[in-house]
Amino acid sequence: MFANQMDERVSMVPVTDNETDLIRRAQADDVNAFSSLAERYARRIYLLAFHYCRNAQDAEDLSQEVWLKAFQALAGFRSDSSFYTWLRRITINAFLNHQRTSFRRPGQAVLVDLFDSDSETLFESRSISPETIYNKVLFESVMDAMAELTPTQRLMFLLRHYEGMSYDEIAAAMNCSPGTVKKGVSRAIAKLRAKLDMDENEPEQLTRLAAEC
Amino acid sequence: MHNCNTTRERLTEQLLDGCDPRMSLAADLRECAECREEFRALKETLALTTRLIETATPPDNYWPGYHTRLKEKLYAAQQLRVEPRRVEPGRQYSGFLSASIRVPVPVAFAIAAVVVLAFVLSIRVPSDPTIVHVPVEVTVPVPVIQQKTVERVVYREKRWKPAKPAKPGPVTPPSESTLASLEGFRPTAQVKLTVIKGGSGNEK
Repeated sequence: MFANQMDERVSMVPVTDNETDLIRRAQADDVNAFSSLAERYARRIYLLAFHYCRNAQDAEDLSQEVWLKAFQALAGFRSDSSFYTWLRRITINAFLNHQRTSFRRPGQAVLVDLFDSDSETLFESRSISPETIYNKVLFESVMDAMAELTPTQRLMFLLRHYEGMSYDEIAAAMNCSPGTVKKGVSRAIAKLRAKLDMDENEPEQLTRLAAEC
Repeated sequence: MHNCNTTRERLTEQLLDGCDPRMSLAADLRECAECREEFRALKETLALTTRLIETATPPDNYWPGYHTRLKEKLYAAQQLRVEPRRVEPGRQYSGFLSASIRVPVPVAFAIAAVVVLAFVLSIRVPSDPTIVHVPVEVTVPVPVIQQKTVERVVYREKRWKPAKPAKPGPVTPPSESTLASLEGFRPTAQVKLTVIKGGSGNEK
């Protein structure tokens, strides 16, 4: 579902050069060509990282780490798969490595405050309208629900729901069985549903809550 | 026949694939109110998480700075690749000395236990120091098996038959020719035995 939206967004990036040509030049150590490639997919990788880390600064660090790894490994890229498929595999590996190392980092999972004027927030250019407030409430409730998931469940859910990958593709990328992935996604959805369980009037309640803020 | 578990599983799959299950699962949804509620809740949940994307997407003015920072990192990585780090003399083995490998905890415990056990066994002393062990020499006969091939000729004694008693009758004197052949004959005092080698088939 989300993958389609992101595909549209990716296709909106002005195509100044052929991707194959950009890859060939980047493989010859051309940083500008690689930056052009990064501009095409940066939003998609960043958003995956953001929903995985639930923290804007960590998302930037993690997504840029993905690009650095991709730059260093680009010489080994073969055209038997698309560039994004190859990049996504690097992204998943980087996320899994981050998951292993983040156990040592205390005090993680700090949600970004949308209205924190001291920090470079994601929404600083947006005016504070009722719609924005509604989005803030919505954002926080969904982020709280995402925080309930384990990192592995979150990654499986993101890859299945946002990236539109099949269970077999996720299993191959995460080095586990498709049954494990299916179970992980199912549990993630059950947790999200329990956390976000809304009745028919919930959108109205959210709007009222937003108006009170 | 309607099965709630199967229906909910298919609902989830179809919603994740971005399809509308109201067509393919129309009969199940019409029949079961719980599945209808499940469909509504699932659809709402996934829609909310999708809306989160829009909410969390950074504004357009965020990206130039992001790409500038990324480019700086890329140039730095390229610089490191072009200029390999100079290693000071004697420092090339520092990595080896400080290297570590990850070992599962049970394996580490097992290795540690083996090392400790070996150490304890190697330094173990007699429990009673007053006992002095004196070496005693004991000669133990050891049977030596010797193999020898013996070749032997076996003679079988012929069955002895008692001589038939001579018929009583008049004793005939030896003839003239017999007496002539026995002239000069002396019976020997020793028995002369001639041994003839041969197999059992040549027994005499």
